[in-house]
Amino acid sequence: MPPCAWSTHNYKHFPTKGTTRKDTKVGPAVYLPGTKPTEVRVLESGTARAPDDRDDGEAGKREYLRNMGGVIGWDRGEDASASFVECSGGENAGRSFHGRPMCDASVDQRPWAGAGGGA
Amino acid sequence: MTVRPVDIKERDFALSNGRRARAFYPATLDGSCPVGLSDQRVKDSFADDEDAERLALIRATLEKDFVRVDAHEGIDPADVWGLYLHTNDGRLFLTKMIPRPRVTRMLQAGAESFVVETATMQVCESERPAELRAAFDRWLQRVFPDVPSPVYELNIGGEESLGPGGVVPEAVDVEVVNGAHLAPRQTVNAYAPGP
Repeated sequence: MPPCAWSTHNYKHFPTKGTTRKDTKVGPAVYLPGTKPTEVRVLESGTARAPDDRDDGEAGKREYLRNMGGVIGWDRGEDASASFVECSGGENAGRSFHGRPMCDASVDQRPWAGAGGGA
Repeated sequence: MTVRPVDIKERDFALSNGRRARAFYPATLDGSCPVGLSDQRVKDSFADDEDAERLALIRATLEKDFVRVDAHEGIDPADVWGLYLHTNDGRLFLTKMIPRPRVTRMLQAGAESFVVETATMQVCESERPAELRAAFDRWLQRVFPDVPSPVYELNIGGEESLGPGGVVPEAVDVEVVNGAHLAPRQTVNAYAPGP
């Protein structure tokens, strides 16, 4: 599998001015306002390198989870303290990884979460 | 660090249900697309699983006679705006707007070999807030091609929105009918780009 490069995912999970926790109820999860892109990159890279849990289930796709021990963003209108990262793309090239903050309810939807499998 | 100049190409992809998306990538000597950029890749990246419920709610709201949309400037980066649709229950995130100069910089940096428009990302032609209206029209046609263009009011910026250099852009209310702009209630006063 070729290496993955970090992607901003078109800044989908970056807050704008006026973003509120409520906006994430049916909107994309967002990092806390004030989180810098470089911090997001470090956080997501660290999650991919040293996850608490990982899933290699789907062909060409890898998912990683890491509990950050504190609130890093909002998801589903709730505080989110988990960092979720997925790496996907072509089998031979064009692979990239991106992440998002994840709340407990979203983590619970992943059956592989909590099963270990981290580095 | 020296940034290499890059000639950026774009290619329009037709997706199912009349949807479309553009891909942007550095030009190559032989004119080929980057490895990994394909119809399937553009289709797969158009919407995440988590977007489905919201896109259905957006569709239902757009089918109303009149809708209100707010545009909020990004925090970091500041030039990536977010658009929100007012609903009876609050508001729904629509899309991020990324100006073409930033797309160029993203590709120049080399971390990504191509950038693809999605249901939650529209490339707008410049960093001027006034460009957001045209970009929003393109987003509507691209993501909801089967929904008649609604009459909408787009509020750009707001009290909490500061432009580069801390200049406050005036809030702008513009009514649009089927893509044709009617008389704006206030004059568009986009902040001047920084030095």
